[in-house]
Amino acid sequence: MTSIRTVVLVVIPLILASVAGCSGEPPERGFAGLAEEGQDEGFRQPAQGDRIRLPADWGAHPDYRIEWWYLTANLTTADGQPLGLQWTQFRQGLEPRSPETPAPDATLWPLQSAWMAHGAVSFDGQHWFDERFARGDIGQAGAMAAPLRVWLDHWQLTESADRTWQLSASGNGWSYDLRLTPGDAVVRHGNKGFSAKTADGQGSMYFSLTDIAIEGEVVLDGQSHSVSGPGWLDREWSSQFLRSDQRGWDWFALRLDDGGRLMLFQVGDGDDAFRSGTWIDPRGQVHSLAPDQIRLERTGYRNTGRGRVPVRWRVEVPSRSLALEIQAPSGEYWNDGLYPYWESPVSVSGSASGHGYMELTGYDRN
Amino acid sequence: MTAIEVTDLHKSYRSASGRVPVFQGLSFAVGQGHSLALTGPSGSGKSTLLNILCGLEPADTGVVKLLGEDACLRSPDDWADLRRGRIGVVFQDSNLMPALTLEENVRLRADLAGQPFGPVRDWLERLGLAGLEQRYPDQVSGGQRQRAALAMVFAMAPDLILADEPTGSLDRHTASAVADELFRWQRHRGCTLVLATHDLSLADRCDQRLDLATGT
Amino acid sequence: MLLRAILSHYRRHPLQLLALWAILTLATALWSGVWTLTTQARDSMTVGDRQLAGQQLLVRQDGAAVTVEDFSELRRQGLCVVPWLEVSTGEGGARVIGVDPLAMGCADSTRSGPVPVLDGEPFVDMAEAARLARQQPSVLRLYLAQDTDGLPGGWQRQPDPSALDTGELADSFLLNLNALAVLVVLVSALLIRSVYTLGLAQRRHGLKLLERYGVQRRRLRRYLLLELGALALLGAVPGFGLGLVLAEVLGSGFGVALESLFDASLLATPRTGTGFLVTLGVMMLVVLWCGLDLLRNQENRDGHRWQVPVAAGCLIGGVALVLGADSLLAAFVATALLLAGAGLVTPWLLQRLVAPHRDAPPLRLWRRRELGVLVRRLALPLVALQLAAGTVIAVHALVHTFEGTFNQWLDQRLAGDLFIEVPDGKAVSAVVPVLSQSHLVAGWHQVLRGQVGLSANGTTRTLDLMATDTRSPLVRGWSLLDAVNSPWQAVSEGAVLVNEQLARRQGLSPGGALAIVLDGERRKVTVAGIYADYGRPAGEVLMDMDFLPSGYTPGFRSLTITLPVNNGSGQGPLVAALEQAWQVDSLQVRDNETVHRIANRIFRQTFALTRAISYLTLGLAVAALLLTGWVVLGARQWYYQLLTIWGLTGRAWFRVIFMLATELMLVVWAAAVPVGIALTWVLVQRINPLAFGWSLPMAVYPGFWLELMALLVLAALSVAGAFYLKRPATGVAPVLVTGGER
Repeated sequence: MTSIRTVVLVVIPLILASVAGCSGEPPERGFAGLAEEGQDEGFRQPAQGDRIRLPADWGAHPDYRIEWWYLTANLTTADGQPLGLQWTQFRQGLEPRSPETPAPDATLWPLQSAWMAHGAVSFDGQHWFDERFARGDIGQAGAMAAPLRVWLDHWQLTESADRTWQLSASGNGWSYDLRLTPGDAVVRHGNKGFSAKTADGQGSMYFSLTDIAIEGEVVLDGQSHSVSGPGWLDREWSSQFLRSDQRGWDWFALRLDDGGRLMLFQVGDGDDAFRSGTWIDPRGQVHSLAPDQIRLERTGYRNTGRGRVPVRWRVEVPSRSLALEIQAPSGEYWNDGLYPYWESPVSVSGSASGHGYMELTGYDRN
Repeated sequence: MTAIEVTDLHKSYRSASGRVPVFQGLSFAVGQGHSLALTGPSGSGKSTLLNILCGLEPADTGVVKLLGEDACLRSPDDWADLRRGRIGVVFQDSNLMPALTLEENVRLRADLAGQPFGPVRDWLERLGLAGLEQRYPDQVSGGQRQRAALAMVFAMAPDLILADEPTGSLDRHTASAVADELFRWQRHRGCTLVLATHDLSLADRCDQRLDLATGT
Repeated sequence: MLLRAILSHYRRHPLQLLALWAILTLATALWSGVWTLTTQARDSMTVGDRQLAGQQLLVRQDGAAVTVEDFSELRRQGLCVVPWLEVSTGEGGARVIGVDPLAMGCADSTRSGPVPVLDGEPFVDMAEAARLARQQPSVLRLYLAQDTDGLPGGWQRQPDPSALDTGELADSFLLNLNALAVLVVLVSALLIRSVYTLGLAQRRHGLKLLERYGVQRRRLRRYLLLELGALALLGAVPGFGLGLVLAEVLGSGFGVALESLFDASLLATPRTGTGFLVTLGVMMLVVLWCGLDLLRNQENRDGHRWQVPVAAGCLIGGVALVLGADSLLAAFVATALLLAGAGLVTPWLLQRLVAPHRDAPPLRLWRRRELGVLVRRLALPLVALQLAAGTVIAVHALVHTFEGTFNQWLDQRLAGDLFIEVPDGKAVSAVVPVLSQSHLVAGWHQVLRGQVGLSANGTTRTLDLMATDTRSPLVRGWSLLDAVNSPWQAVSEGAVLVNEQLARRQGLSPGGALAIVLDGERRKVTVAGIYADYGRPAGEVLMDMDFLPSGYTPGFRSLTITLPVNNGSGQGPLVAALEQAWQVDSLQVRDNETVHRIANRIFRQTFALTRAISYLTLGLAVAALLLTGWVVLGARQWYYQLLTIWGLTGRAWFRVIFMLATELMLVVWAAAVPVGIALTWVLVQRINPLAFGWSLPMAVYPGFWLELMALLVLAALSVAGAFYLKRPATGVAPVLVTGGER
């Protein structure tokens, strides 16, 4: 999951550069250039054998280039209407710093890292979105492990004394205030948390909470809705993701009615596409899915204001007897920020039914 | 006494194909109070000679004695003084300032020559322009304009008149009337007249005639 | 073939073609340059307004300096505050401003993502400014970039103390720039037309000949219009480019001015496409006007028969409208009417002005008559020059007046050397011991600002109140627009002064009464005088602080301090002593001299631009008059030569021609001065009050008129000299004499 998050973050330094009077490079170069440039700038690289350490890894990793806290939720209003919701906070390191080194003096307005937050709500065929930016190390934005606290301005995720979490954010025409109760243990993707992103072993550290109970209030255009339902939180960090020949990312997080959960993603397109996934069976057992265990196919498209988007997919995992049809609801679900991407709730049918979220990048025509 | 004595005059013009000679050793003399007609086809140098005689153009070589003095020694300012009071010039047309009435034109010329304004109206009347004094040049006929031009010359009381086709643009009848006035005044005043013309009958009225095509 | 015959005129007169093209190009350059500049200025102002609209300074109630922690805390509480770190980097008021582009995203809620408008000098990233701030004096401010209902405890809004409220002065300047742009178009249109019609007059003979040879008149016209269109295009394209260069050159100074005024940089490239279309459109209109003559059958010599009545109508209507105008549009229409009237009546008036007495000496008579001919033949370029010179006179007067009043106003507003805000909750009495140390302070007084109610027609409106010690010599230096006898004495006895805005709005005059409400207490006070207060739309009342109710709480308190003359150590020790006495970390201190210097620099640049444009217009008008004058003089050359044949010496002849040219210039000058005065008066006394509610004093500068006259005489000298040098030596009468009009 992911490239969009990488790409967006790469753009920020370019803005900063232009403000500082230097000429900014075009974002396109940043998209693919990250892998090439990323090797020798002192950022740490995830590798096979790296492990997840909790609760420390809930906090920020200043020695890595990029990371995020990514919540998606398929909620239901009091009268039974589905409501999709997203909250994401990204950190982009501009200068690496080891975890032992103290943070720079805030009075110097340091620029070792930049933060960005995205908030979106999808309801009744409509989509609301806003984004915010901040520099790191001055207190305006940050992330702490225990108790968990991730914030940018007043968009904040905080852990309460009763171990539940509070999440609130607001934008133009929307706001939400939610209580999150994390469910079962964290799911470590890939090899004990190291999730490969290419065939030759590059990747990221990646874990998720796949079953969070959420309840709270969402206000849309002045109208308040009580909501409840399950959410999915991704936690991922790395310093490089993309090989320069990889294009486009398709990511799915699906929750089946029988209790099974499926995460899969595809990097690139066609024969070169790299696929990976995780299957959590109804009993909670976690199974990593190798590239050759996953079949992914676009089966339907929708013409939108920003381009043609594959809104129907067919997913097959023969080894787990899964043959699923994935379908986005009607409407347009572009997160129309600095770097637009598609983020929509989906419904699942086929060998099992359920709900989930889908993130698609590389389809923006503009 | 001679009013004009020209000896061995040379004059040529520069043109694209080299120097074009106009006069090559021209010599002639005109006595005081006499009249000389300059004839010859177009381009034979009639106007050039008139220009040399009033100092508007220098000769290349040769001696020009004018009113008893060697004209070659004169400075431009001396020439100007001469034209101002003693040499009257009449052209075929456009002798009058368009923005002045006939009377004002004559007064201006008299004023420049240092002559009194008194006789100005007399001259206009005598030349048949009575009642037209306050008209502007474009309000009278060509003949009337030439009469006014003569009035200007008469008003300045010159010793020498240089006339370049003074009747060239007039019909025969008017031309002869204007010429009558000119000759009458010239004889009466004993003034010297040099007149360039194509009109042989006009040339015949002069005491002398110089054909510039042949130099005789 | 026909085309070649038509164009043969230009083969015989290549200079005329060149001149026509040059005038087209230069005129296009001038107006596209001015258009670009005004567009840029307007765009920058809009951006600046949008950036600063609703922006208010957020300050701590305890008066302490704000910190980065404060910023983060306010952001976490959901306030859209934007940091602004101003660092002085050297002498002369040079500064660097640190901004955080990431933090600015919240300022514009209609768009997501940061909006990096504050790009380039003097703006840098906060980190860089913070680095500089370690060595240089600096101040961190927090602007509230999006309005909010409530403020967190301990915080309060405050208008930016460093803002000098020059907004309306700048607006006024822009308005004048716009008027100037219109005049430039008008003048250059006249010039193009005059040069073109002059050429056309010369060609009429040849065109008639063609017609006689059987060429249809309609076809002939079509070709001529085609030729005109092609010429216009050939002139417009390079002219537009030249205009952009002009705008670039002039704009660099102008950009700096605006940037300092509005803290917004000039947009790099304006809408060039639109600019070109507008330029082309104006050009086509002008050319069409030139072409109108082609559609008329005959040269219309009776044109001026209707000219005088129409001119009289324009002038009478213009005067009536300008006196009665109550809207800006009406004032502009009136100005246009006046200018049109002046332009129409001038040739007729000049004709009468130069008409000689019949008994004048013949040569003078001739010269005057000749002048009359020139005035008629050169009517269009003369009027263009008249308007251009009038504009220059008006602009000069305007700029001088602006400069003078602005300086006076600055002196008034920036009295004393230092302006120090009294921190909230601190008493002035606490620092009186410091202020009475003569080696630190030469003089001081306190200024209170707050609100006062104005009772009128049964309602009470809130006005700004300024209260001070009116016995202070620093205040008594104010110049008043209108006052009773010894107004300051009256104020120290309880009367008030009001600003111009309030006086205009309420129809107040010195000696009148005003019903005010102070802290709920109703009072009737006398208006002792009216002071000019440019650029403040709000009404203001000034009174002596001794007459404030005892419980009155001002919104804002400040000290105005004069430093001792031989104070080598500057403000440092004083500020330190005050901080210590008040027990605060830092004080808001404004160094008046620096502000004064910066403000002066800004306005000098701005006015230099206005002057440059008006001089360029004048230059173009002079050039066009010389050009057309040259052609007209050339056409009448034979008659001038007659004077030589009639015995005028070279020197005397030159004198006559020079006198002729000089008199021509002098009559233009004489016609321009009243236009200049009228234009100044209309701009200063009518348009400015209508647009902004305040007027500038009217002043005339005869010294400048003389300078302008000298310039025009110099132009006359040059054309006479050139004419003298090219006079032919021979007296041969041309076969065809043209130009024989009277």
